[in-house]
Amino acid sequence: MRIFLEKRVNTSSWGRVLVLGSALLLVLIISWFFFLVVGIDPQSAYKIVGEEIFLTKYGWQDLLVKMTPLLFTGLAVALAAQMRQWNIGAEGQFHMGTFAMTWVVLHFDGQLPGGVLIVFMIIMAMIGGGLWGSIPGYLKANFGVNEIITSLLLNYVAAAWIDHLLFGAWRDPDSNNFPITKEFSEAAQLPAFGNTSIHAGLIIAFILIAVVAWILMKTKLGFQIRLTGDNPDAARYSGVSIKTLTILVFAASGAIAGLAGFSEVSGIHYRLQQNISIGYGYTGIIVAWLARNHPLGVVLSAFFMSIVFVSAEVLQIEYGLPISMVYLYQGIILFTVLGSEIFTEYKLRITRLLV
Amino acid sequence: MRKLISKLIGVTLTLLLVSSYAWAGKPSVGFVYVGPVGDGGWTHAHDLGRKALETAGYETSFVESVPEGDSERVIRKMARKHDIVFTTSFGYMDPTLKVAKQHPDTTFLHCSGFKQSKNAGNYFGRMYQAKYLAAIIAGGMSKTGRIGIVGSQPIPEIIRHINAITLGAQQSNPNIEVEVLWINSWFDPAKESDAAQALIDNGADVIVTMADSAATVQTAKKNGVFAIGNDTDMAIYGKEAHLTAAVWNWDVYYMEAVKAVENGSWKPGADWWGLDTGIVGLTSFHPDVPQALIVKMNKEKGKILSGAMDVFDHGFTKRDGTQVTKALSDGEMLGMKYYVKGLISKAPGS
Repeated sequence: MRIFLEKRVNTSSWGRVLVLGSALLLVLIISWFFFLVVGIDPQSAYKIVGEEIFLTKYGWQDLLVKMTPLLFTGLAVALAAQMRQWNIGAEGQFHMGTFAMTWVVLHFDGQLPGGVLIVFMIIMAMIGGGLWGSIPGYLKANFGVNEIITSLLLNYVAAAWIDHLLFGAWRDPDSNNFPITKEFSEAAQLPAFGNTSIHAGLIIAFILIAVVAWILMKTKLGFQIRLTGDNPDAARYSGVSIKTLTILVFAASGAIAGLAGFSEVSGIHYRLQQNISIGYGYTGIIVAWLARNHPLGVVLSAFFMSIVFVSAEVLQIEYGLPISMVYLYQGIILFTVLGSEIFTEYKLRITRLLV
Repeated sequence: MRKLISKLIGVTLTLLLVSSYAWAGKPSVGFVYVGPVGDGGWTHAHDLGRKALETAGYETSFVESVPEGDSERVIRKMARKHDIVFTTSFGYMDPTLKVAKQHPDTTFLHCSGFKQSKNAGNYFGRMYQAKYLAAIIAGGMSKTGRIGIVGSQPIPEIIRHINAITLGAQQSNPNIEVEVLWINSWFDPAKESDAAQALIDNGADVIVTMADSAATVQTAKKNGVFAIGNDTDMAIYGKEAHLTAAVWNWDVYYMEAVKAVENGSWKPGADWWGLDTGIVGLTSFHPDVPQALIVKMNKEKGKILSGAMDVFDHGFTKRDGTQVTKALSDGEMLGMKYYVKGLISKAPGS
């Protein structure tokens, strides 16, 4: 007997749903055993985690707040991936977005009316992230430098640049010289919904997703991007300038990641400080992968990822589960869901050996 | 309908029970930690304080390794579950204040910050006093006349500690040189070890660590030089090298603060407790430390305990040569960003 994987000729969308559904079911089953092993009653764990996350307004608030930056970074990675370009640098573009928009606030806060200031911040965050993103794009387009390496390494440069400013010129003397900038005035803060922490960044993210989806699916530019991804030679013969397109897509991807930085700083923290991003750029890669790089799928996968994040504290607080076990659990979930992807492309065949 | 009524009665009874419990019972306490409880340093020390509360009969829970940029959600969850919430990293300051506004019935205490509100205060300990005393031992034990410091993150707190160490070491050896290497991290055993090794290679024979792991102590042991531990007793990682450690005893503060909330006497403020309260202190000394040195250290300790003297209250020279003659205010100490004379390294950003 022989077990092997056979490539599927094509995958129906129902097939995809089926694979994803089975993966989620498998997650529940594996969790059951996981909880048993660590000495938690699985039934009560499902109930409490489910209630905390889905049946309280706090749970929904946490999910939507957590989801916001992941929508941006997931979309950023997905857009580049539509052209088979791997932007591993959303983390650094996020940071450069926060840098550019904070520069605006530090120089113009109080001098510009609220609306104008916010728009200026948005534009600068996009320019900051976009220029940073266009560096790997330019190197790839002109010299064929591997964009995975360059975009990844630029993340460290961006983080060091932010640290340099926070420990130097931008640190706030009124805050005991801690590495934080002064607090933004209300004019530079994104409005929140009621007494919650959900902020307008969520709306910007949804608008952006709709726009990117429309461009990709309905415009000539979008068609060229997808065509270049599927078959660069065909694209070249049909007159697409792949160089320009590569730089453009990387710049757009970086601009979107830069907006994630804007949304977090202006919507949540109201000042630039260390550790604003807890790896949103990297998590964006998982979000995009789960969404199969489809802009609309990003909404679902970002939602799923925020459930994974938010359930972590519930397990810690309610059951005293150590953080290492929580990481392990998160790893198992992600591995199961991401690993199931293989069955959308391949099917399992079991045959008798014919020898 | 009957079901509905019985449900309503049930809910009312539960509410009554819960509220009566809240009135009669002891307050429950939540902790938000920046590192894992097993870090052997900062978070471990706070967790020992939490365990003291448990022993005293308070219900507690904690969440560990909470990233500063993602803490608001966790603090909010703790606020819903507990009467008192302690948040133990500087980056939790703004989120703590934000959540405190949303949960006016919960008391919040933030460690190492400077913002207060109606139901949020902050607290810290004068660790620089303990560092100063430990450095008297370090200065006396150094034969090469050079002390190395593994710096964590260059924030004012750590700069203050570095200055206190330098002034303390000068009590034993006025010509002592102090070198600092920054690792720009609170916990990174590999970098800590590399920095310690480089300092030893540069001629230091006593290494003081500001970071949370015991890597510096282990590296010192390997090289046959001395080390001073940080935040908790690190002697078990290399008792041959471990001179002493400047440690936190958070239990004294946590017991007092929780009792104050319990009996209604708590008011928001900025508590900065000193050596006299026992919140900071030194662990037992290496057997090679001569008695005369301990006597010398104890004399300085006595002066601090009696209030006759503090580390930065009787003038010193800055590294750039300017004289400070007046006693520093708490605000000036909290915002310190310059080095004192005796440091051969330059302060970051200067």
